[in-house]
Amino acid sequence: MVFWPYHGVIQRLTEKSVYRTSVPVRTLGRQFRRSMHLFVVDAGCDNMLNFNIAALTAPQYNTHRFGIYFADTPRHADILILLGPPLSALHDAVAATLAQAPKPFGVLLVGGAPEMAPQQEPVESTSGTPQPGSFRELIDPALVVGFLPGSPGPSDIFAALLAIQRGDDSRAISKSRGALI
Amino acid sequence: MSVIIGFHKDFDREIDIVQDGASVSIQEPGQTSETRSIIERRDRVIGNGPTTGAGVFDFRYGPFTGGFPEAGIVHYYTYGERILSVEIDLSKKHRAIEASLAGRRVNEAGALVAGLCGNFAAAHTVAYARAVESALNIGVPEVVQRYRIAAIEIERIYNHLYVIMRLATAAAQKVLAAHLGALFEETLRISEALTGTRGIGPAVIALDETTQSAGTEIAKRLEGVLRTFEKLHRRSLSSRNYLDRLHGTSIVRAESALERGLTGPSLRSCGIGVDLRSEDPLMSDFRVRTKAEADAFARMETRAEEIFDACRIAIDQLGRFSSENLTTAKGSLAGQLVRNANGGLRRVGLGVAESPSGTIAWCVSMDGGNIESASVSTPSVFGFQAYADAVVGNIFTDVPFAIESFGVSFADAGR
Amino acid sequence: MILLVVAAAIYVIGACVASRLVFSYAMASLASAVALAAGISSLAGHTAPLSIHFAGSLWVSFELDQMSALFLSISSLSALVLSLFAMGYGRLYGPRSAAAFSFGFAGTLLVFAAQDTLTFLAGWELVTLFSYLLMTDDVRYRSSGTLEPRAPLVSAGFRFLIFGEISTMLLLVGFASFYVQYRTLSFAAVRSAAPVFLILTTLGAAIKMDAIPFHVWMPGVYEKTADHTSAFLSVPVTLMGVYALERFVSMSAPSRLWLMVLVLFGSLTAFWGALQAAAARRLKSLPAYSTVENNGMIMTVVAAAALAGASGTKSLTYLSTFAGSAAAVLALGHALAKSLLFMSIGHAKESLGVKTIDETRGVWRGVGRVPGVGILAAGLSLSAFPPLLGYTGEWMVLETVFQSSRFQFSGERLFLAVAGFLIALAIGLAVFAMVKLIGYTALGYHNERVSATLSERPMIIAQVITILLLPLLGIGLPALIPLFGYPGLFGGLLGVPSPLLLESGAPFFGVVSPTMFTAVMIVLGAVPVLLWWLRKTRVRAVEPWHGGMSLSEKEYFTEPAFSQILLRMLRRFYDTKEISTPGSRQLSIRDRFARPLRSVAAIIQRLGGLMSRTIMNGHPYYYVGYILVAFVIILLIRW
Repeated sequence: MVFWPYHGVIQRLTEKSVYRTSVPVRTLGRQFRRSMHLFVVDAGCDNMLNFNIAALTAPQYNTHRFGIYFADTPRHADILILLGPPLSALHDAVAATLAQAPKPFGVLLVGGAPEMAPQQEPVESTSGTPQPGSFRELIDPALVVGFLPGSPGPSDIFAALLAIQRGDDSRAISKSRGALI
Repeated sequence: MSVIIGFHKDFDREIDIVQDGASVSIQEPGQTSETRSIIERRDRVIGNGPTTGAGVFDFRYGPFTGGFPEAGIVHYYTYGERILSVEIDLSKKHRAIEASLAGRRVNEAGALVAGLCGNFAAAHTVAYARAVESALNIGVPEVVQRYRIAAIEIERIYNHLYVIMRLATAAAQKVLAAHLGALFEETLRISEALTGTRGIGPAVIALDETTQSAGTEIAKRLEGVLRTFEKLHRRSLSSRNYLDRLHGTSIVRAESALERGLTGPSLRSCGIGVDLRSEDPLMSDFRVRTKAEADAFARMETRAEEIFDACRIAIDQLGRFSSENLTTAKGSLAGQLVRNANGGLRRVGLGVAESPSGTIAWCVSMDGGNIESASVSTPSVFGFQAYADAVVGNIFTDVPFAIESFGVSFADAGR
Repeated sequence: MILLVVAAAIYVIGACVASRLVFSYAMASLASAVALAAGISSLAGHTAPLSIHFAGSLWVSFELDQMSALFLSISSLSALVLSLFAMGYGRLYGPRSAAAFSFGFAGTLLVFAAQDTLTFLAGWELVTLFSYLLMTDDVRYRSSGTLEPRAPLVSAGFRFLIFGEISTMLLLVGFASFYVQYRTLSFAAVRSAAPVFLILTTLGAAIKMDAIPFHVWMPGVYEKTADHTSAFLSVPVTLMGVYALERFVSMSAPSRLWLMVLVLFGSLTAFWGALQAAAARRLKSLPAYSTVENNGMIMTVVAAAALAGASGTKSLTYLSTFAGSAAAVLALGHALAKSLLFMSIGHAKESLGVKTIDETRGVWRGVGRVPGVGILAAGLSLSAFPPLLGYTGEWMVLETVFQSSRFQFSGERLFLAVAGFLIALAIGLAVFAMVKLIGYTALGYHNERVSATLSERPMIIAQVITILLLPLLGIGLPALIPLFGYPGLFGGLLGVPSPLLLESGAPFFGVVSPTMFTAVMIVLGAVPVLLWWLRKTRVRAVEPWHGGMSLSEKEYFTEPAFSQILLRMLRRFYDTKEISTPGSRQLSIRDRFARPLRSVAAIIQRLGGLMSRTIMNGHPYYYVGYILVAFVIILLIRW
């Protein structure tokens, strides 16, 4: 018979990795260094990103030691994580969700193709209209704190979150309201 | 009994995809089946229809909630505690992937198929590959078949671990959920070691990616997962609170579930032993796991037993090939694809796989080397319908246990 | 007294000009104001009896002693605000309603001022008759001014009449026994009437107070009549019953057993009324059952006061005064809160054109601020929220029954303890009912509905007056209760200056001071309110969070869903059943007293029909025969 409290303690599942991100992020200052709450919005992903975020709650990552928690409503959120690529059927719902978050907050875009990133000035595609189903027409670039295209794993997401949370410029490429790409 | 699980338009004729026990086939249309209306409505709203009455209102759950991670809307009709009927809106995540496959080359389409439902990607891509291979008359080397079985079983492991982890979290078994979470993450890393991506992707169709790691290393890690899960599962059954929340919750009526297209561990927990893997010649000593009570606990137990089986099957299959064999075999597959795809022939093919939640059946019509049209039957559609039928009469506090125990996803149902 | 005669005269004038609706109701308000002045001046000590001598030993007398003046003031206050309200609201109804309204109030004047049995009965019957006329008036206009066809409320009104006549009959027989005992019709200075008088008259009063099981006529009638009619039935008419109860209990020799029965009877009534109020679905049923609950509590306290007064100990004498004042506070609180509730509900109902609580949402935004605050204030007072009047009233009831240990006989203690248990349950259920009402009507989502504008000035003024009176009178109780005739209940303790602290027992038992409470809240709240007022943070208003989509109308949480947990838990009391047809399910409940009493009423109706067909059959020969028989009997009696 295993004595579970002892068994749990000796597992030492939490990894001591240093999480580095290669993606540029914009920080929101140092106010979230002790506590940062995340709300995950599935804007049309294929569910693997949801599984990766579920994996982020695993003991290997142990987000709580950095004060990173998951919230159940956008009203308690500091960072809204938008899982894409975004579908037009969910466009209005995502906009309504963004309106609920209290300032200051930031939006982390995850998933989708690299060319879906929001720009400061709207970029005309070759057909003359913004690409439907991209993050561009969905979100105000000033709110975006990072963009992780493709299908990033928990470590990549975690690294981006930590970079945003640390609030220092050493990991950030640009703190000003410039372009993210 | 035979149940229609999908429709397909093969150039200018309509065909039905029919499952009878553990065999799935293409048939001429005309057979009546209760699933017909479900399949016709699967891009909009399925369920048991609204309820009226004084005080009855529609408790809309979704699209964005703290309880369920995906974007989908479930309408619960109730006049208080008890759920009177359920309607499930699957339209929010309908991405029309089947339509977008038309006119694409086989490998290009394969990437889109993997993006239909990321956590069932192995089952989807294997079923799709089998459909293409059946249409183009490609012979698949045994080592690739074994590799595919291993990939599907590892996917089964992490999906079932996810379901049990969600059930444990809902029952406030936080320590159990944390341990299961660790196993879940470990399994996802194992799959990354096997295929190069966490979600097992197009690598199974004989494309450019090749496996990296040797089989023995992965087998050892799987062994560790098996041992740990055996201990965890035995321990979890001693928590009366956990068992009490699952017992008697959302009981599925076996006969009507079968008629409504339910497959997978949800059906097997009703006592009906239908499993596509029992037809696989490479898994000769496969035992179909069934339970009788058809409640959430039975579904959880079936999944736990399938985790044990999946670990053993994957370890066994991985022991029968090396990565060098696989590279050669994939080359052979790629060659056959190039040869057989030419000629401008019109062919139709059906491929199936037993995903963690039931039957996935892909039917493709090929025009030379391009996909002319494709249709898929996903298990989540029928799983949601079975959930709607089973949760009627339960109270709201049982809903997390009910819906998580079916292991369904809106991405899979929305296609 | 002269003021009272003037008031009565103005009521009659108002009734006679009923075709000019607004003027008629204005006359009624004036008359009520005059009657209120009469009542207050009598309370302050200026009484002047009035007797009218007819012939021989037949004379009628009117006097406003303390009890009469108290009830007259309460009733007139309610009459004043209701008549003001009717000045705007009454144009939805016809002249017959206006006439019956004024005449009905005049009848209540007669009841309160009567000092002999004949006048009392005359007033009692007049009020019953005019209530019947009021509720069967079938003239109804839509807010646009067009006449709306309606079926007259005959059978439900008839049921009311049956119970009204039963109560008159009981009073009649009781008064007959009074005559047998005292050989006079006058009430003056009678203190020890026989138990049979007590039993019969209190039963008659209980019927008028809508005690169970005689309340069954209420829901059917209340839902279908005008709101000022419902308010009339709920406040002045039942106040009349309360007055009768207090008057006849004070006139009788204390019969311990019967008073104990009354204590229990009152508490059962309170419990049943609150139970049904908590399950009520229609806008008018909830206040109707709340009246039953309040009157039950008043019955308990009056009987407890008499029981306490019967023994001689000092603590029980104090308790008797305390319980008597509790009845007064409860009556006043109920009169104001219920009038306000009916006024505001009526305003909302007519603006939105709805019937159920579920349909009436968002009165605050959809109809107007005043009806919204009116429902809120009235509901809070009826749920005992400090410092409103209802809070002190219900506190006093509970304190009275908590002091059951002071009584000497174990039977009294037991009955009072059980009564306390039932009343506490009743208060809890009443809070549930009021929270439901306020939450759904005043504060719920308003669906962007457009309401008909009904905001006539008098309606608003009437509601505003009552909204202000509820807390002001609650705070001003240290001045009011001695005015009502219950001195010596206030003191000072623990930093509360005398005489602001209401003490419930002597020696010390419990204390409350709404005045001090308000003062402390104002002082403590001044700084936070000031800071909040001067705050710099900007507030952004957004829709509530509902998963990313706004709520559609069929997704709102309904009122039956709110109550269903109660209906399910207490299914034996409610006889809760699920009615299910394909595609539709709902819960149904019933008032368990309704069916047996409806059959009783039906039997009486049939008997009455039989008697009227056989005896009052219209043939002249029969009537000649009756005259002869009466002649013979009178001759025999004279001989």
